[in-house]
Order: sequence, then C-alpha cells, then structure tokens
Amino acid sequence: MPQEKQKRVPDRQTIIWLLVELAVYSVFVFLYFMLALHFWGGWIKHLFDTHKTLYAIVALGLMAGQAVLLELVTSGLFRLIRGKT
Amino acid sequence: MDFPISGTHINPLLLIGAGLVIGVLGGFFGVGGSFLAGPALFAFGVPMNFVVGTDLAHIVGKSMVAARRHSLMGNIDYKLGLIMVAGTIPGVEAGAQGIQFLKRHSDVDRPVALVFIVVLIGISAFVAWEGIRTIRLSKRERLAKSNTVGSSSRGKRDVSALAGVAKQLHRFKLAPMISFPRSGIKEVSLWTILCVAFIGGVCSGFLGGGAGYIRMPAMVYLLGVPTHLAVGTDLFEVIISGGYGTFTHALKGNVDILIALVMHTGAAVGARLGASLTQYFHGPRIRLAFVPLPLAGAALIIYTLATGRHLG
Repeated sequence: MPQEKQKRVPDRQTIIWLLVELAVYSVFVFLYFMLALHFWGGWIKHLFDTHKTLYAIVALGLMAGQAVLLELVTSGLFRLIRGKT
Repeated sequence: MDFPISGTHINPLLLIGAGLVIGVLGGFFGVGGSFLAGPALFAFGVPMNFVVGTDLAHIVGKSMVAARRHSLMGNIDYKLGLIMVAGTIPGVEAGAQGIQFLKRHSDVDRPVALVFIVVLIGISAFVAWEGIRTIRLSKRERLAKSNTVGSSSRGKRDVSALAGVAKQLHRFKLAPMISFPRSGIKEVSLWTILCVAFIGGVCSGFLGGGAGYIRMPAMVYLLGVPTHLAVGTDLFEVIISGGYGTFTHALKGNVDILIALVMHTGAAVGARLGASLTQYFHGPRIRLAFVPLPLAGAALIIYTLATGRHLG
C-alpha cells in the first residue's frame, strides 16, 4: 500500500507525456501481435495438442521472455520520452 | 481473436484493457491483481480450469519484473522466500490436483467460482475491518501522545490493529526454530512458515494467480514481516512457485499461454503507470480504497454464473 505522502497534482505536461507513452507503446504492442502472436498461434496449439511437456517449457519461456522484453521496452520509452522534457 | 488452446473467442483489446486496469491497480496497491484477473477471464468466457492456469502464467511475468525492482531496493528476504517456496509448491500441486479432480468428476466452473466468490468477499471484509480498526487505533494513539507531556517520538512504523497476533504465533515453539534477521524475526517455528506458505499455495493452485491477497497479509500479520519486505519477498517467492504452478497446470492442459501473453502486454505498462500514480495520492485511508476491488471481482463472477453471458 502506498505510504503517506504529501499530495501532488499531476501537471498538464506530465499527462500529455503519459498519453504519448501510451500511444507509442500501443504501436509496439500492435506490431508484436501481427509479427509474433498471430504466426505463433498455430505452432503453439500444435505443441499443446501433441507434446504437453515441451508446451509447458515453451509457455514458461515465452512468458519470461516477454516480461523481460516489455520491461526493457517500457523502461527505454519512459527514459527516452522523459529525458526530452 | 480466436484462442484455439482454450477454444475461446475474445477481443484482444478487451484483454489488453483488462491487463492494463489490473496492472495499474496492482502497481498502485502493491498486489498482483489476480483478484480481478481471474474473474475478468471467467467473464470473457474462458473455462475456469484455463482461468486458473492462465492467470498463474500471467502473474509469473509480472512478478519477475516487480521482484527485480524490489531486489534493487533491498526489499527481499531471500532466506524466508526460499523456505516459503518449500511450503508453497506442495500447496500449489494440491490446488492443481483439486482442479484435476473436479475436471474428472464434475463441472469445474461452478465449484471454483463459488470458492472464488467466498474468498474475494472474505478479503474485502477483512481489509475493511482491519482498515477501520487501524484508523481508530491511530486516532487513539495520537490522542494519547498529545496528552503525554514530554513523550519521545517513536519514529515512523507500521500501524496495524493485528500487531499482537504475530507475537502470539512466535510463542509457538516447535523445533526447528529459525531466525530471520533481515525481517526482524528473532525466532519462529519452521512449521508456522510452512503452514502459511502451504495455504497460500493451495489458493494459488486452485484459484490461480500468486495468491498475494492471502500470503501478503499472512506474512505481515501472522509472521510479523515488515510490509515492504513482505511485498518484495512475496514477489520473489511467486516467481518460483508461480513458475511451478504454470508448469504443472500446462502439463495438465490448463494454460492458454496466448491469452496470458496478450493480457500481460497491458499489465506491463499498467504496472508502471500504477507505481507512478502512488506519488499523487496520500493518506492512511487508501487501504480502504482497496475494499471494492475484490467485491468487483466477485460481482463479475456472480454475473457470469447467473446470466451465463460473456463480456468478450
């Protein structure tokens, strides 16, 4: 739970940059869907049906890989955009 | 978008949106968000056994990133986390076997949904009760302090109405006794820790997610771990136990990893936004703001059960 802090009001510029970050992020996510998830779907379903152990390993690997990748992307975006303000 | 593994059709924007909201709330309140993720997936038409496994997979990704941040801040008690893993993993497996039992013998959706509703309403009731009692206690302490002339300041500390419970549990002396200097615990029975971890594991394996809504308060109120260390240690522990849960549920055919990946894209940015938002809000009453969230999750499940309609 958040600690007790002095109240701050987000200024207009912060909100604008937040929206810009969201827009850039949305483009990344859209490209990710088109390039990755759409083409992997069939292969992953095939693994699920035929080889559960390999599917379990791939599932964990994909989740961990995506978590690290998205963290790098969001951190990079936040740093890049905030650095220019 | 079709998700062929679970045989569902869900608008990916809805999944991303749900992930975003869950991420923001999770980042803001410092919890994983499975109290909303599970009900949301169920409301989108995902069968309950897939809800449980998929939510576990989704939470592993979130925990990895969050635990790294907490590790950099020194908020993880690794010794406690590793010992808890030993209790959580059998609990996760017991929960997963419970789902398998229901799959073989009856309908999975209804019994798991009913347990989910009871747990979510219980959490809301507990947080509301504890929050109100703590606020009253703080007021009384402030009054007592103002009436004491020349009393010295005791500094900033966690105020809780249940502070005495941990002390009573520490009196339970069943060998082996272990100390956790990092968490400020002088001596506690190994069995107490394993029991707490096992119960959290059962919830995680049976209801999905990291079960932080059970383990976190248990660590703070029952074991006496400081809140910031409980959050970090819980996240570290969830990487291992959630990883195991994802693996075992995937082997049993209960994980739709495509849904988890789509949902996580929203949750990743949401968690960052939620953590940023905490600087704009203040006040000890913020804990009470958490109360409606598990109730919203329960309402989603009740709506889906009652109407049979799906939001996706």
